[in-house]
Amino acid sequence: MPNIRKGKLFVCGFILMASFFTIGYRTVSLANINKYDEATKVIKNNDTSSYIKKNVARGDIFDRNKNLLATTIDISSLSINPQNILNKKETISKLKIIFPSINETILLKKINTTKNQINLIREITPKDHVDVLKAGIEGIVIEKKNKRVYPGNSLASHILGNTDIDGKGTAGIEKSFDNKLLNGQDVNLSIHAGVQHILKTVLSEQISKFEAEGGAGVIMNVNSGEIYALASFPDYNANNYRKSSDEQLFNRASKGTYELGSTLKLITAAIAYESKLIKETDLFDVSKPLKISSRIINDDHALKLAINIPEIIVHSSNIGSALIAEKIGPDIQLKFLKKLGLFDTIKLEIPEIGKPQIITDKKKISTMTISYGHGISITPVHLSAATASIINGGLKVSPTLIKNSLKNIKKKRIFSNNTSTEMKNIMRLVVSNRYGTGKKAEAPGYLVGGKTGTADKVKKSGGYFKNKNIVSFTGGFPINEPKFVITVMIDNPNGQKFSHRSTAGWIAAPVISKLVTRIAPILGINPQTDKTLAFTNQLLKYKIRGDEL
Amino acid sequence: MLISRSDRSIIALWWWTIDRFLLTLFSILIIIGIFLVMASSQHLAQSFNIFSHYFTIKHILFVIISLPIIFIFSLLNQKQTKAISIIGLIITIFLMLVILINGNEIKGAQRWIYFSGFSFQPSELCKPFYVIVNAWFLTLWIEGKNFPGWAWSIVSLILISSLLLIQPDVGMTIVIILTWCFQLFITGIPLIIIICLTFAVPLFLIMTYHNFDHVKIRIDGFLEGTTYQVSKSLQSFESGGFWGTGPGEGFYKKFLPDANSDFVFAVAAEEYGILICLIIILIYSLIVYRAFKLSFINKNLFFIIAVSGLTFQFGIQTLIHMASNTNLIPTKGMTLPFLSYGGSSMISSAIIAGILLSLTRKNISLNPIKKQIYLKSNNE
Repeated sequence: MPNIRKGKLFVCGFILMASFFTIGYRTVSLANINKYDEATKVIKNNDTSSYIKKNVARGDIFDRNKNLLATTIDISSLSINPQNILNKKETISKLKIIFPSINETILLKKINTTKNQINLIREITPKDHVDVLKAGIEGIVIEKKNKRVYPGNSLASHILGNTDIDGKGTAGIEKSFDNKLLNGQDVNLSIHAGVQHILKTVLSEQISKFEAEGGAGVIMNVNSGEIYALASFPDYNANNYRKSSDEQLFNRASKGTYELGSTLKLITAAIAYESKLIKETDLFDVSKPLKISSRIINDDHALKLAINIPEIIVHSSNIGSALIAEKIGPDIQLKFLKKLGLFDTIKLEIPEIGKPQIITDKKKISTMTISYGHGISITPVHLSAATASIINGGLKVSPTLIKNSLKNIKKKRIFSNNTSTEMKNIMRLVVSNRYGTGKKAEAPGYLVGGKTGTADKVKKSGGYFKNKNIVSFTGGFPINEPKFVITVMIDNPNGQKFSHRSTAGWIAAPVISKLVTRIAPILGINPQTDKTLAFTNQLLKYKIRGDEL
Repeated sequence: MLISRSDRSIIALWWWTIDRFLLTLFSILIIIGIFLVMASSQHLAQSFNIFSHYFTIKHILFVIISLPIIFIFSLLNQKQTKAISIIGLIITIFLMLVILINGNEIKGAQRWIYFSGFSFQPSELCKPFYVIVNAWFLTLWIEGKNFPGWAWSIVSLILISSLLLIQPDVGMTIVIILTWCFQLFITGIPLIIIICLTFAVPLFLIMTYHNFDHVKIRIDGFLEGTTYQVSKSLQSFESGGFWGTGPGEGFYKKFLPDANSDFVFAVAAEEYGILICLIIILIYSLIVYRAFKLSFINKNLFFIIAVSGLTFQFGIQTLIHMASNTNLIPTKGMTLPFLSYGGSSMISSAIIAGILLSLTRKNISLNPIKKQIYLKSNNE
């Protein structure tokens, strides 16, 4: 018997200990200690007055031209002190006249307490305020409260984020700059409200035209990394945060990671030029599908030729890209991808940021698929930063949402100027050449260059959808002297009658054309005729061959 | 050490026989408790428009009262403990009956009694006494001294739990019933009763769900994840992070009702960080571990049932508090022993600690022959 008792004691003791352990684990996971990325840490350190002052209105958020994006207004809030009511029925009937939505029986129940204050209506209009005072209701208390308002509604909702009912930031800039805003200081974003509006309009038009699931777009300064516009669809009205679905709240531009497909061939080509392992005269035979250990790499339109790097990019040949990668090797490839920041969470000033996923097993097949954008998932912001580094002369770019924030940081060089020049030429050919996949991105008067990408969509369970894809375009303008990089991504578009297929050339490229023609004038970029001619003439040295169309 | 081994005074004997490991752990808890109440009750005091350290000072007063209680209780021997427990239990049951007829209602529950400016909750005090008395009943029953211990045990359980349910205090009832089941389980009962009990507990829970509106609201709230307090409590944990926001700097505590009693763990998390929470959890688990270990190696049946029962009650109350703060179970207003503000809770915890310390004293298990030799050698 005593031994059984010992066993029972042991079991019960063990269960108690295990419960304590569970609670400890739960506490740690609730606190989510790793939630702050380095960017927010930096912001926190710079913010000397983390101490929250009372009665200071929360700071405003502005765009780069001091247009108001978020502000706090005073509202009147109605509550009632039941202890000061003599005639409960009369009070309720008076209230009912002004606020017909009040339920009398529930209110009567609420009033029958010993509490000193009951909140009735959080926000009343000035007219109601006057009516309540005129009616002479017993026990009413009207308090001034603050309300966060976003005048742009859905304009920059994913960037701005939101605050909870207690005025504490819960998402976006509101969360990461909470201390600063609580102290009444304003935040100036790098966002350009006009460009942001154009990006949202053009992108949403295209998404609904092609019945797509969603999309994202980023417009960024190629040198400073300042983001002028960042959009994610489906979007939501920032004034209606609590009623928005998770799908709407999700930031596809900075948090969602996607296999962006052929747009990454630009990186492969840039590495090829930079590593000097491949000569301009080197040709790659793309006439036959590549068979690598049970996997087959194919081209949509196989060319019966051996072609060079510019031709591979213009035709967007998977086989060619894979062959380049094979020649470069996994070590150099991954080294450059790491330098470009494609291994790390992007250091953007909002909490909604995604961590890329990339296959680093250095197998031949992985190296090859990564070269054309499969087996590597990144956010559209990552792609923008990489494209910017390729076309700005080869310097690393750190995207930012804050105006003038990274001006004095010395930039690291990733690619040489020559590589960058070569890449700009090729990107222009993708749009201007008759075999180019991005011809619909052409914007008359402005030299646009870039790369299309059509990738099979990844299933959450692993593997790829057969008939769902993600189309994207990344490029810069004016490509002879790049100022801005534009990246757009559209998730699962459906081909329509007027477009033959749901490829990036048909769906993503036209967005770029519309964007450039509309944003260039307001960003002060003029159509350049003389320089354009010189740039176009020097492109003639590239001989792009192809099957006769 | 200031107290010499050869000193034979009461204090010296007490010091050398007490389980100093447990004593240290209880002392640390009491100290942490003062800091937590300081942090959690300031806002409350401000909202009542009274001196902001009002509750802190009152809590320190309770601590000053409970220290002698711990000391006196830990001086008792087994016989005296039994006697005091049975007297205490009878008095508290009597007081609970008094409340039924003439009690003060706080937040929909009649569980407080007032005298000379102080209010207290007899049901808190009845908890530790009942564990001891029940252990006594069960021991008498097993040792077969012609005493129907099991019948007394069941009758007393029904009496106390129905008194608690009338108040209504569902949380305390659950703690008392669980502890009773545990003691019965340890004592050794036929399998058939265990099976009946495992069916009876869910039945009891379903019944309370349907008969008590506030229980229904809380369980529904838990299942839908919409409870206001819990959302604030969880935000406290998130906002505190590893190092906490600092004493008095907590933001979400202001929105936590009963922050200084039923949600004190969440306040600890917000203001002092997860580090202190883990330390608190460690201390509680060490107490449970130590006491279980002591009853594991002891051969006296009463000792085993009483010590492990008290510890189980202490542990289960702690666990319910922490689990409802972290939204692992529906909210149950349960104080955290020694850390929550409140006189009854503090004194009840002090009694638990005192009895635990008295039972685990070393000389208690000294057998008579050894004692004589010991005394002789001292006389010479």
